[in-house]
Amino acid sequence: MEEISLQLLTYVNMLVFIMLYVFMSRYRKVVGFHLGMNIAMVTGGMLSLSVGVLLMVQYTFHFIAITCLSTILGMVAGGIFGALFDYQTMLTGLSNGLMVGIMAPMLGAILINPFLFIVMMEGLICLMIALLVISLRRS
Amino acid sequence: MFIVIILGIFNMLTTFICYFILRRKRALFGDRYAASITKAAVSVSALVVGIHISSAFTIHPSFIVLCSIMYGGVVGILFGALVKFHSILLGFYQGVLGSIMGVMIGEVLKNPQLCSIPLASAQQQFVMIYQMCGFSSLLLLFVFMLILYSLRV
Repeated sequence: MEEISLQLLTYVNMLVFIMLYVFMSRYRKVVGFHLGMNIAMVTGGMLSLSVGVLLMVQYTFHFIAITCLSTILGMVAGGIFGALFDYQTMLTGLSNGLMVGIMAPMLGAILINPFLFIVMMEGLICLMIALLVISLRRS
Repeated sequence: MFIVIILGIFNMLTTFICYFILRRKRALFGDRYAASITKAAVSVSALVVGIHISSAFTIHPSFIVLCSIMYGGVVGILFGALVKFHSILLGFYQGVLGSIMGVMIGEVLKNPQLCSIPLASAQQQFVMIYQMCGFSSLLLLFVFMLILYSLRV
C-alpha cells in the first residue's frame, strides 16, 4: 500500500509541472524578465527536489542512478521553463536545477521517518505553485 | 585515485581557459549578462572541483574545506570582476556555497555509512566514486559549452 502511494505521488508531481508549463505558456508575452528568472529558478529546484527525495525513499540501493536522473531532470525542467523567456534566463534556471538536483538524493537517504518530511515538502510545493499562479495572474 | 586527480586538474584548466576566452570579449557585456554568466559558471565550477578534491585526498576534512573554499572564492572574485565590479558579491557567495556542497557530497562518497546508504559489496564504493566524478565532469563540460555558445546569440 505504501509503495503504490509513493509511486502515485511521484507521477502526480510530474503531471502537475506539465500542466503548469501549459498554463504558463499562455502568459509568456506579459511576463517581464525579472519574474521570468524567478519562475525558472523555483520550478527547476522544486521538481528536482521532489523527484530526488521520493525516488530515494523507495529504491535505496541505486544512489548514483537516482542522482544522475534527478540532476538531468532538474536541468531540463529549469531550461525548458526558462526558454519561454530568454537565453540568460535559461542559463540561470539550468544552473540552479543542477545544484538542487545533485543534493536531493542525499537528503532522502538521511531520513529515518520519511512520512512527516514528505507531507511538509508537498505542502511547501503547493504553496509555491499557488504563489506562482497568483503572481502570473496579477502581472 | 589517480584518474580522479587528473580529472580535477582537467576541470580547473577548463575553467581558466573559459575565463581567458571571456576576458578577451568583455567589452560586449551588459550588467545583467555579466551577472547571469557569473552565477552559472562559478556555482558549477566550485561544486565539481569540490567533489574531486574531497574524494581524491584522505586528509582531515577541515583542511579539505579550507582548500575548497579558497578555490571557490578565488574563482568567484575572478569571474565577478570581469566587467564593472558589480557582481563580485554574487560570485563570492555562489563560490563558497557551491564548494561547501561539493565537499559534503565527496565525504558521503568516501564513507557511505554517514548517510546510511547500503552497499552491495566492498568494491562498489570505488565504482561509485568513479561514476560520480565522470558524471560531474560531463556536466561541467556541458555547462561551459552553453556559456561559450551564448557569446553568439
